[in-house]
Order: sequence, then C-alpha cells, then structure tokens
Amino acid sequence: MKGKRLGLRKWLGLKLFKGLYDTAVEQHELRTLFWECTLRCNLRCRHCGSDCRVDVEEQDMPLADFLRVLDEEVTPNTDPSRVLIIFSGGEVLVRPDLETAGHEVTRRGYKWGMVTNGMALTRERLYSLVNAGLRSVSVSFDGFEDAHNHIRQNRLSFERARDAIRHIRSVEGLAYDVITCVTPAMIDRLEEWKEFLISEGIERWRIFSIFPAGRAANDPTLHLTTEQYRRLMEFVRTTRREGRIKLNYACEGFLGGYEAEVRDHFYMCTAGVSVASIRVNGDISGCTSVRANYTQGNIYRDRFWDVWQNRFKPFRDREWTKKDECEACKVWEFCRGGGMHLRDEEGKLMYCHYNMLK
Amino acid sequence: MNAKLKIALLALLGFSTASCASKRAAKKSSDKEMQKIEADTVDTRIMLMYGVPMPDGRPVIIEDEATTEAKEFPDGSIAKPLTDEEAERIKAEIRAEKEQADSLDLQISVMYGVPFPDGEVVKEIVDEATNEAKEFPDGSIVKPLTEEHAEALLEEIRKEKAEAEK
Repeated sequence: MKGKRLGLRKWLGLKLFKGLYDTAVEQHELRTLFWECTLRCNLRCRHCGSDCRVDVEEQDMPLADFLRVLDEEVTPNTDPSRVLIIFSGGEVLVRPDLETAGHEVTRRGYKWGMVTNGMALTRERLYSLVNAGLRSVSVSFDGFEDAHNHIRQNRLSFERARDAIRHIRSVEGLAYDVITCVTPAMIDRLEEWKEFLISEGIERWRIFSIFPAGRAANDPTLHLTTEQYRRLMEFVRTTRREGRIKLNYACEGFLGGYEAEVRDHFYMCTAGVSVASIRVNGDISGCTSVRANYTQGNIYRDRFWDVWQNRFKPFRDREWTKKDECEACKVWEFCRGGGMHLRDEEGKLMYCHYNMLK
Repeated sequence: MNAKLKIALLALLGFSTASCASKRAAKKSSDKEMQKIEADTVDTRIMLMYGVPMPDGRPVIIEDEATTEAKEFPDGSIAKPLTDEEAERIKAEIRAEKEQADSLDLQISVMYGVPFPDGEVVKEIVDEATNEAKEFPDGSIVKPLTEEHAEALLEEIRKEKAEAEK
C-alpha cells in the first residue's frame, strides 16, 4: 500500500509539473466558466456543499445578465471554442429556460455542459437540451439504492438517476460521467458498485469524498476515517490499473505517493487559474466548490474581464497558505496549501488529504 | 527550462499527464500547435470536483430524434414531427428501396461487378442510335446505325450474354 512517501521518479515528475503549473498561473487562460444559475434544488442532500434547498432566498440569476457578461466581457477576450461553460446549481433542471440559455451559449460558439442529480432528466428533457447544444453532462450517483436514497433523502432518487444515465447513454457522442461521493456506507461495497456501473455500460466514473463544507460539515457520519480513506485510494488505483472503467479521483488535494495513480494528472487546483465562476448573486470567484468568501468581484458592480485579469491574487499566489500545519510541510511546493475549497473564511485549512495517508 | 522540454521529460518519466501531449508534439512541432498542447496538458485534463468532462467534439446523435422532436433548421424553418402514418409510409418506401437494392446487389455479385443488361435498356439505346444522329460536343456527328447493323450488334450482345451465363 502506498502512502505519503514520494519516490524519486515521482518527485522529479512533480518538480517538472510545478514549472508547468507556474506557467499556467502566469497565463491564467480562462478555460472553464461556471454559471451558478440557481440555488434552488429538487433534493435536499445530506452532503450538499452548497447547502441548497427547495426554497431559497436567492433568486435565480436572469439569463440576460449572464449573457451580457459573455457578450461584453468574455467573448471579446477569449476564443469561445476553448471555453467550456458549465451550468451549475442548485439543480439546474429546475430552471425552465435552460434550453434557451443553452441555445444562446451555443450560438455564441461555446460548448456547454451541466451537472445534475438526474431527478428531472427525462428522455424528452435530455433530447431538448441536446438540441439546445448540451455536449457534456455529469450525473451524481452515490451508490446502491439504500445508500443513494439515504444521502439524497428521496426514495425515488436512485431510480431517477439510473434512468437519467440510461437516457444519456442513448445519445451517441454526448460526453458524460457518473460522480460518486464515497461515504462510509459505501466503502465496503465499492467493488460491487463498480461492477454495477460497468454492467450499466458506464465508461467514465469520478469519485470524491466529503469535505467539511455546507451541510456536510455538521454530519460526521459522512466523513471517512483515515483507514477508509487509504482503502479508497487503493481501490481507485487498482481500478485504474484494471482499465475496465475510466475512473478518476476528483481534484481534492495533494496525495503524496498516490499522485498520478488515482487521477490522469498531478494535483493542481485550477480555481482562479483557468476556472472562474459567476455565482447566482453575481459574485465572481474561482470554482463553485469554493464556498468560503473568496469573492473577487461582482458582475453587477465590476467588469468581469478586469476582475479575471487583475484580481484573483489569493488564487494565483498561494504563499499566504504557508501557515499553520502547511508552514513546515515538505510537500507544500507541490500542494500549495491544497484546494481553495478546503480553506475556511479565515484561510485556515479545514482538511488535509495528504495527512489522511499516514 | 521551457515547457516543451518539461513535457518531454515528464513523458520520459512515464507520467500520463505529459506523455500523450509529447507524442503529439513529436508529430506537430509548430509553435501554435505546441501552445495548444501545453495548455491542454495543464488544463483540460484536470477533472474539477463539480465539473463535467470536456466534450470531445464528436457529433451528437439522438436515436429516434426525427420522429419525436421538432427540429429548427438554420434558416429558421421548423420541421414538424412525423405522424405515425407518415413514418410507416416512409419505412415502407425504404423497405422497397432496400429490396430493390438487395436484388441489384445480387446481380452485381453474379456478374462480376457489372450491372446485368436487361435487354430493354440495350434496345432503347440501339433504337435511339438508329433513329437519330447524335451531335457530340466537338461538333462531330455519329451517323445513324442501319437496321441490319443494329440487329448484328444485338446478336453479338446476346451471344456474349449466353457465354457469360455458361
């Protein structure tokens, strides 16, 4: 079993990758733009990082406001074919004008995708979205019926997600993957779950584990122990070597000896480097998993492109993270203090994946 | 050390992060291509926690789309969904065409790649040739065949056909 220790080959690889990361930071080419188009959701998941619910105080952002940012700020400064727009939520399918949004984004030359829980993704809705330019979709699928429905707090959620994935698979050429948030309830059943996904014909699978933000922060039953986390890493590594399903562990944090073995790439937090988000209230930030207040501007007050070009210092220069347990850490040069989503309002690290590998 | 060299060294070390890009780099060395490769290496393969996979540019095809959805064309016209009756009629036409094509395929395979002359076609050509002179683009005129000459040609064709059948 691997742990924190880096071998010489991996250490050399990380040193080289560090240089490429610096170049990416320097260039900060916008490649992914999240549009948090709603915070409304048709589920109330136990592990929700956004703390979404059915009725929220925050109104959906009007489509026209987002399109104005695209037309005035993003399109004149980028090659739209190189920028992927991701509609995120909340649950994006609660928006009735999603097709219009898709058409408009596609018309401007952008590719777009969405993340969904699958509850409202009927065959008809999917086809309508594909006709509106949908080219990529990720569906949350957290385990067998009991585990999935428990987390999602809805007895129909497993069945709906499974059906949604089957509909998606019927559309040739549509990029998709299945996302599983691994909880202690599923850790012993990962092999079975993998076989189930393969039997469903699923080719791409992404796994992540709970980080203490949103609703999940207050539910210790969702958090993996150190031993469970190590088992998860071993499972991902073995499954990738088998090659029967393309599995990746999400961009959660630096993983020592598991680097480049549980993901296609070395660890890198791209929030604010190549990824930006426009929140439902107009806030401009890095990726949507960053829940603490690292807002860099607001589309109703600031020019998006000016913010992207000239702010985002906490995202691009992470020297400030070199404090507390990170201060003397010997892998900080590769980790840079972990993902931005792992920092709280005061900049304190909430969770260290590397330390879970002891 | 420039980015190209770093990518190549990463590939040498056996890391998939860079090896794919480096193979491509060996084939395409222009600066523009290289910039794209470098950007891809450090960005598009990063799988974000709440992100989606990057579309690979393949055309997207929905099964049964034509029969279930109205489609808007670039000129703004709308194709109405097919009714069941229309769909059945089209299917019947397709089946008939397919049967015809199948029988033609059979003939082609029997005749070593040449469509079987059914006699009627040959006759039409001969009739046309015998009844009127034909003017070619270069201005030359082909004289009409005489009845005797046409009969002789048809006889030759019949013989060739009979020999081929043997």
